[in-house]
Amino acid sequence: MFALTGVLLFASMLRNCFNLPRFRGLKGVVVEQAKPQLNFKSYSNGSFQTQTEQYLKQHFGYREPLIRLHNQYLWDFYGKTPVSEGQIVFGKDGWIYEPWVVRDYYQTLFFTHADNAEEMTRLLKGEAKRLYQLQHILEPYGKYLFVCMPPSKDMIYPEYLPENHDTRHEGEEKMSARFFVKDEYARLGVNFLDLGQDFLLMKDTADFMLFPTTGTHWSRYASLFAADTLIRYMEYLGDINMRNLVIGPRTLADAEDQDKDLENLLNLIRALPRPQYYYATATTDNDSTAVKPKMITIGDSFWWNIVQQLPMKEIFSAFPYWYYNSTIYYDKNHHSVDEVDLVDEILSTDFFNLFYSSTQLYRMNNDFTKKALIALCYDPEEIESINDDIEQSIRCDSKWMERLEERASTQGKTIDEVVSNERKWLVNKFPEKYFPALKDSIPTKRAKRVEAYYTLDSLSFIEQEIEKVILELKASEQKMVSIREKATKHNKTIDKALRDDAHWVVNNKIQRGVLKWHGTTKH
Amino acid sequence: MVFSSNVFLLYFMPAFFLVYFLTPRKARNYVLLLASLVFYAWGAPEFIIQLVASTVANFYLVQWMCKTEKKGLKKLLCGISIIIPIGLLLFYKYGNFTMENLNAIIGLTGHAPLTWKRIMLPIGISFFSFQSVTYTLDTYRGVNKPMEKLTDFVLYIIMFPQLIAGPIIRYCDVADQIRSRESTMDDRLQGFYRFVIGLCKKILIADVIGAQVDAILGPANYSLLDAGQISDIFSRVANLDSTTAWIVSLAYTFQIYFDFAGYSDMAIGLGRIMGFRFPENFDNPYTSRSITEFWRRWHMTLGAFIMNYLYIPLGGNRKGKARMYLNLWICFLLSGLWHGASWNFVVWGALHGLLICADKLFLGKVMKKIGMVPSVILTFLTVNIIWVFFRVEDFGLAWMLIKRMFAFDFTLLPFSGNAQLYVTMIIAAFFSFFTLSKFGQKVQKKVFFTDFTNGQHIAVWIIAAFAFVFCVAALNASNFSPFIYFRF
Repeated sequence: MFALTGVLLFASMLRNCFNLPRFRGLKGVVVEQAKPQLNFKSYSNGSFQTQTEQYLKQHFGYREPLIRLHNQYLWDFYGKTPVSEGQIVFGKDGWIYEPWVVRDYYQTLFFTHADNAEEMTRLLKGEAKRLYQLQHILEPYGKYLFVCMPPSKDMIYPEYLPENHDTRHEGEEKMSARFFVKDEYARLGVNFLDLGQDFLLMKDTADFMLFPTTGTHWSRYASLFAADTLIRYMEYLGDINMRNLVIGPRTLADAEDQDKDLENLLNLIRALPRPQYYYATATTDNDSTAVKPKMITIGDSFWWNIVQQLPMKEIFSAFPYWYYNSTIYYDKNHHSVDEVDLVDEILSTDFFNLFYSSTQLYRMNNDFTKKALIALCYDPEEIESINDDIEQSIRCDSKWMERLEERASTQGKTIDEVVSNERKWLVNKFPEKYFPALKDSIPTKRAKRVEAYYTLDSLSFIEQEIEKVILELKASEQKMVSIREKATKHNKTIDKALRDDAHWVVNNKIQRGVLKWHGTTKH
Repeated sequence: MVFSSNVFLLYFMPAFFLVYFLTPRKARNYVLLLASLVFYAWGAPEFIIQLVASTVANFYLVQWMCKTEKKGLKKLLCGISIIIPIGLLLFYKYGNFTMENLNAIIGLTGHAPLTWKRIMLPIGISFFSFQSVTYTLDTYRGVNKPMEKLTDFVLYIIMFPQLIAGPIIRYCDVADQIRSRESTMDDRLQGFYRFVIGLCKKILIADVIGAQVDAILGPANYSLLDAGQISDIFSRVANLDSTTAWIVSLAYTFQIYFDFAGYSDMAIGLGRIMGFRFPENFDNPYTSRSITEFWRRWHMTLGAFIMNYLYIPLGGNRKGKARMYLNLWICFLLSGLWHGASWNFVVWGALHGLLICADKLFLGKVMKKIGMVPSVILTFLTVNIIWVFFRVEDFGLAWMLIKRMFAFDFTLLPFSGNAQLYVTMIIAAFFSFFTLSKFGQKVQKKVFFTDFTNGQHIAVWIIAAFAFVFCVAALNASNFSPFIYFRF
């Protein structure tokens, strides 16, 4: 018996050594604790011990089945799990929601981002103005910025929200960004695609679920229709022809992971009761005359269902996904937005898709618009000089510095880091104060690189035009004779001579104003 | 390192027992000593050298004390040997408290406060400093001979099962076991069962209830909170209805018992696996019929220490009734201060001291007269109310909570979404009062103090193994709360 006790005590270590048997992994993401490094400093200040505890919590043997076992016990006996307490709200008929979605339905979510409705309104107005400015700065260059708002679950299926979940008190302020921005964007003329409205219209006629009962994002199948609408909107906005989406025959199947993402967080042993959902494969019509623009999507997790299901390479020349304007996906060269030269990226992109669902509108596009406006209107040297001035003014204020020194000591940072963070906070909070060009309704000031935009070769739009001209040249035997002569004369390959000629033709067209890709504000 | 952690349960404990039982009997104390050093060095790296140095110094001081024939020198060495651990205790545990109060007084006079860098409290200092004192005094009094081997003495002081939270083991109770002990198969299995019982008390009861207590009253130590967070706690408590206030106080009453008793069970269980018989620390304290009885059942090893090394030296009951009451009150005041360096602990100790005196004067007779059930209920409620001062560091907040308890604005079922809290509290109450019945006493005797047959061992082992696995699951799952995706 005591030997058995030994086996029991060593079971976890043995599982880690041999990694057998294998278990279903836990779903959801957590902040991974890196393997702690043992050295005298980390040991003596206790950080090694703390990190080891945390690391072992995430890596002990039998972790997966044990956590599922405990969660299932809590679920069966008390109808909850640790995750359900803060991240899931249980509605009627087995429907589950994220709590912030429910709060937004009752128009109280804004309190997590502002002290009162007035402040929230001011912030949203400021962001709408910046969207308008950016849109109008980009338009003359044939670049289109638009806001696309996917629906949220509470908006489409409020009837399954739980009773008595309205936490508003009598006379308490309420507001929801989704209603405010709709009116404000229309008033200013900001390009805006309200997919929520489309979904509401679809709800009565669609014979499929627009949202899964135990997921938080739109259903995989419904998001394909949203993608189709999005492509048509881009065609309309840019006055271009893009490849059309073809949605294949649908099949009924058990929920894929994305359609039960909230349920997955519960990490139970047994699945929750839920219906089957439709799934289909999306292709394109292979239209060879269609253009393939480059689109950057800055947005939240609703985009995953689109980018994972669509044949993106057939529709777009490039389609980086700037997740919450932080981590970059679908871009070989960059991993984080901090690595990106913003002006370069903007000038080489045709469409900017600001894709935030209604509960994420309070994030103000994660400051993309502020950073883009400053980068487009000011040269790097000017920005650096303004930043230096701000930091200088901070350092000259002894009381301010006293506070920052205290912060540096409590946060374990250097004073330079804290001053730099304070400067970033100030610029983010008051961009127009420090960059006065942004005060104009549409700023006229431009960075030198932006002014010189038409001479850049890297534009995908120009690249596509060049490709078209190359095809035309190749089709004409007479022109090809002339190109072969040029190649021999200048000691070039025929391909190089062909490309140079096509490049010249396109540049000439642009300079003469023959080739333009202007658009107008569209809804 | 605490027992209810992955590092201990899944790595340290299995590795230790494997090495311990594979080592020849003669060398096992060295394995235990080394493991204890590692155990302590893990949790208090900055203090391990001082602990070992002071322990070594004490060992040689006591040896010198025993060898010398000079009475004066003997007394002096005894004094130094006591001053070293008590001095460390005073410095580390009461340094911050003393300076805070000193600066408060200086502030009243309008002078600038003294600068003082806050010091961290080394874990277990309250326990091992007392054990060191028992060694010195027991040897001085001739109750036991001094340890012959330095390693045995260091082992007595820092033996990991009881190092962090007791029980406080008197030298005379364990000296022989350190020199020589037997660990039968029955001991090993019973020790394992006892350890698992303690683990269940801690993880499945105390931690579950404690989470709700913390949600209302905030963390036990407010020094890490900012003014806004403290203000939030005040407004939360000010708005409690009486039902919630009572539930919170009762929850804490159960939490502290199951937490502390659970830790003692684990220590006793670990000791028993190795063949040690550590003294019991709790004997169903909430079934007491008076505060005096409560103290005979609650943290019994501390009670014994105070009785032997403080109350009796102060004169006990040998110097008249008035002096006896004063001695009792001083003992409880100091006992309160021993639990924590803060005025709320002093108030808690003082109240218990007053009630003990009242017991001796008249209350004890009243309690006997009113019968068992009313006296148990009254004692329990009294203890429950006084625990508020133990839990809430801020005196004003503690008073506010008590006022809310007696505001008589009761509501029906607060925490309605938290069935787990109610179920756990009912289980806690059941096990707290179980031994009031004869059946309960029988079961307790059978589980804790009777040898099992082979068949019983198999059944109990299966239950214990499942409980152990479930505790590990609960320990790790209780705060596993992933996100669908990262948000920035």
